[in-house]
Amino acid sequence: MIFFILGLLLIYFDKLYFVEYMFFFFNSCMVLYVLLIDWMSLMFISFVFLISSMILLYSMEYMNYDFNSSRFLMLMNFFIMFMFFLIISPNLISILLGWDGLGMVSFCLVVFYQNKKSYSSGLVTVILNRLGDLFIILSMIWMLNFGSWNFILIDYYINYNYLFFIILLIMMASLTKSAQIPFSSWLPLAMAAPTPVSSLVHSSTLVTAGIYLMIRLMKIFLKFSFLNYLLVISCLTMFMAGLNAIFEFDLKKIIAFSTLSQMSFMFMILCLGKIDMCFFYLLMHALFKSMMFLSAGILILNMNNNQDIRKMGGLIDCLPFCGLIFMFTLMSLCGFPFFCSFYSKDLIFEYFLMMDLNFFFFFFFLFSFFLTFFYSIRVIYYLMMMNYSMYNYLMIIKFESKFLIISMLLISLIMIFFGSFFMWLMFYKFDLILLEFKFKILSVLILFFSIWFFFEFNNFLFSMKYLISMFNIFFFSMMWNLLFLSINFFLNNFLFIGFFSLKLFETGWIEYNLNSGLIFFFKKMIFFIQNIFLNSYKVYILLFFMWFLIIFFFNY
Amino acid sequence: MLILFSMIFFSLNIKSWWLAQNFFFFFFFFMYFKIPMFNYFLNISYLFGMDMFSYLMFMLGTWIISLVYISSLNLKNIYLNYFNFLMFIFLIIFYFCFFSNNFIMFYIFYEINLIPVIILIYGWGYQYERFKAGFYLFIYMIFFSLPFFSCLLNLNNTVFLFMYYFDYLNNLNFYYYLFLMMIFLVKMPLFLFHIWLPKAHVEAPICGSMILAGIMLKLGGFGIYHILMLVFKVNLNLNYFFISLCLIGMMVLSLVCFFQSDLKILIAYSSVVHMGLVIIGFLTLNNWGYFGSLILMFGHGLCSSGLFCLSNICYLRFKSRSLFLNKGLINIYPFLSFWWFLLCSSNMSFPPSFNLFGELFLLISLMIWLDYFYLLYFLIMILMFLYSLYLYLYTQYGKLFFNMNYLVYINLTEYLLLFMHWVPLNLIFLIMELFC
Repeated sequence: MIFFILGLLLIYFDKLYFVEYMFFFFNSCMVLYVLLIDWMSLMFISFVFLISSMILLYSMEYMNYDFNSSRFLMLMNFFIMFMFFLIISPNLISILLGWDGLGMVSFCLVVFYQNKKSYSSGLVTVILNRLGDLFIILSMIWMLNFGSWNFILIDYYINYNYLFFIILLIMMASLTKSAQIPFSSWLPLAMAAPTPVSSLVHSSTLVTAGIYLMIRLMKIFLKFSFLNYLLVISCLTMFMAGLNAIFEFDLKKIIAFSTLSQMSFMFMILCLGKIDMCFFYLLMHALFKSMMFLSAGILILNMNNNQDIRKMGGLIDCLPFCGLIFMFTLMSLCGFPFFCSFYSKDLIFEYFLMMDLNFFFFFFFLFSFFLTFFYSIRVIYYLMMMNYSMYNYLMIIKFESKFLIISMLLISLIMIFFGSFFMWLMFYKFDLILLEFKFKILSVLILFFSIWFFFEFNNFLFSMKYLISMFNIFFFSMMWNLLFLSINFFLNNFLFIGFFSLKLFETGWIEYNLNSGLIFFFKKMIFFIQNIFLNSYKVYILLFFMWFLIIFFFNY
Repeated sequence: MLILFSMIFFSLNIKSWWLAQNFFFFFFFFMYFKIPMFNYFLNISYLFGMDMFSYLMFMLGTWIISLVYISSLNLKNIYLNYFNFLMFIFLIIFYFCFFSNNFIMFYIFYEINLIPVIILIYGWGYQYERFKAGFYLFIYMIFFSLPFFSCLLNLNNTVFLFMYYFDYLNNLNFYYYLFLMMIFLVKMPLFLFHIWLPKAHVEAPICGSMILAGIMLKLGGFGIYHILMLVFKVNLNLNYFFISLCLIGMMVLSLVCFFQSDLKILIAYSSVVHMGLVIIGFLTLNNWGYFGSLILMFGHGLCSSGLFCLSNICYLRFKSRSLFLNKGLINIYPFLSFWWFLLCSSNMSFPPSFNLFGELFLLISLMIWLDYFYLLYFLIMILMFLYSLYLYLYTQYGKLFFNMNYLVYINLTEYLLLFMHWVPLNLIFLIMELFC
């Protein structure tokens, strides 16, 4: 709360504070710890702390019956701490602490339930996150020539040749953190974590870190040409995530895919140059996504840890409060009027329509919007409107405890009212938007179309899923083979090199030539010399003959 | 010196384990007051003297030796006097090695160093294969020793065997370079000459492997640094050979790590990989590389000896170091798992640790040296990360192998041991201006 008020003050006075602590100074390169305190970082920190405090309250109840709940709470606290480090310091050396720490602690949280699935998915998560860290380390190496690692001041070096590499590497790092298309396979896999963790990860901490870094660097990004490629990547990711969410039956994975699509939506906003708008949507997304996961967590708890949405149904009768909040969050996701994300999403939609982009982007953008509506309606249908299933009757224990309700209620109130507050606080400058009427109502049209389409073609989609070939199912529901590419491909093709080299070098060439070979050689030499001395008679005869020959040849 | 020698004569009568251990700690703090600020020379005399590098390495040595006493508590009643004597011999050897100005002096104590290590491996090891391992160690060290000595004597007229020889020699050829470097590169160890290291580690007791990983490997780095002052000019033309060998070796060995089933072999291979990076840092001949190597050597000395301690703790409980038996430890020792995580993450260069700064500096130096292959460096960094992760995951997670009839709790002493490894490793970055 203090952070929030301070942030408001900093907006009001339009100030920022920049604190440096120098660790050491070497070869005219300063290694600094930097604190950047401006309205953006303070706002973000206040949101992170608000959401994470509520999630901690929630997880005290949620993880109550787990044996290792104290470890879980400790890890969560570490996670929030690292996020704080990441937000507050715009220096590549000091951001690495938060950046690396987030990856490692998220790995520890993903493997918290000790089963094989969480084990492997944690491995994928940490490897892809570590890739991002290494991208940052490589960019640090390139950035050596600037004498400092403050990327907030990087636009001073705009004419420098290697800036292209640096920016590219930092962009790759943020792509790994925010799970864009080459690296997006870890995000649904990280759903093996306990639900409060995925709530924290997907709302305000881990995946938003990449976008936060991009927001910080955006002034330079806008001067480079590869922003178009980023736009393509984000469009494709958004499309892929929406498509996968349609074919998915795991409740948490559907929400994860929705996060993925919203992340790429934010990247898209960034690429169009609306930095403040992207930040605004980031915060609003944090609010409603954390709520979505929390209410999904209660559903899963009540379903006795079952996450399959086909086995749920009729929840509006059993868990009315939880269902209500879930509905709210889905409406916010779709940008329903006067919910929190309406103010950003609708505005961005209209900005997008105003820009002169080509048909490819236009199609992907609208189709992804359509997919977002489609899967949220699908989830609502399966959870709320479908009939009770047998499983449902057996398992429901009506578990809505006090802590869970309080924590959810607080954020849901903020979620409903905060969008407009924040809009009035942040955007006091207005832009003129000129649109035709049919474009103005396009989003509403898409919404109604998707509702109609869902109820018409839902069963058809099912049948289609079994009709089309096996490859296509995997192609659509397994993230366009990204899962295969990121795990099995490297496992099958590169790990055997180690085995090969173990056989070839360690127990092969080196062992033979340098160890056993050497010993064998010495042994042979010793035997040879010993033989000479043991069988001295023959040698004497041999020497005699040689001597004879020499004399013979020299005397003719 | 006076303190050292008086304490040694005193030490031969020490009957208590902890008294000897405390002696090392006190010695460490005595040395601490002699800190030479900002890389200046200190206490230069005819044969001895120190700079920052040698001082830090010696401090690392005393620290590791004092931790050896805590780690090998199970050896407490086995030839106590002999053990004390060996540790003091180690201390003297490190003193003379790191603080000598003269190459002959350095060479003599560098080679004498083998004898107590061999005694540790033969005396306190517990398998028949230790004889073969000791033989390997001996052969590798001795094989390159004589060429070095002859080269050194040939250089006697020009260099006067002074270690801080600030002018480089023009009239050296390839063979000089090879023989002068090879003795240290084997100790480091270089790829293709590293076979002795895993074998020695496996057969050595915990004290032996801590000293091996903690300080013995650093002696090689120290030697390379001083030899490079002489062969600077030749190195400019020939360093690509060793650097490329190191790069290939790092990749291959870090992949080999995934096929090891012994904890100690895995850690030994990881230390070979890290030392490859150190060799590269020295051979690139720039300031970043030099300080990066110094930092990484310091960090690796603490980190890998801490990992060896952890493997020993598991060995004492499970009577095995196999990865197939040491599984799912987080279920029975959750707090030990925390220490596993901290030390493994330091090994994979997690941010506040010293290894990160070392690796960063070394990668910078590599990038300055050749920037075409930065994807290769990237690959190496990933692999270096992955085997530490593999170590952590395979020991801590997975199905618990519960074939024990009894459960021994972890002592507070062992937590203290790990704490003393981890805290200097992760807090020294606050006084990093000493290193630079």
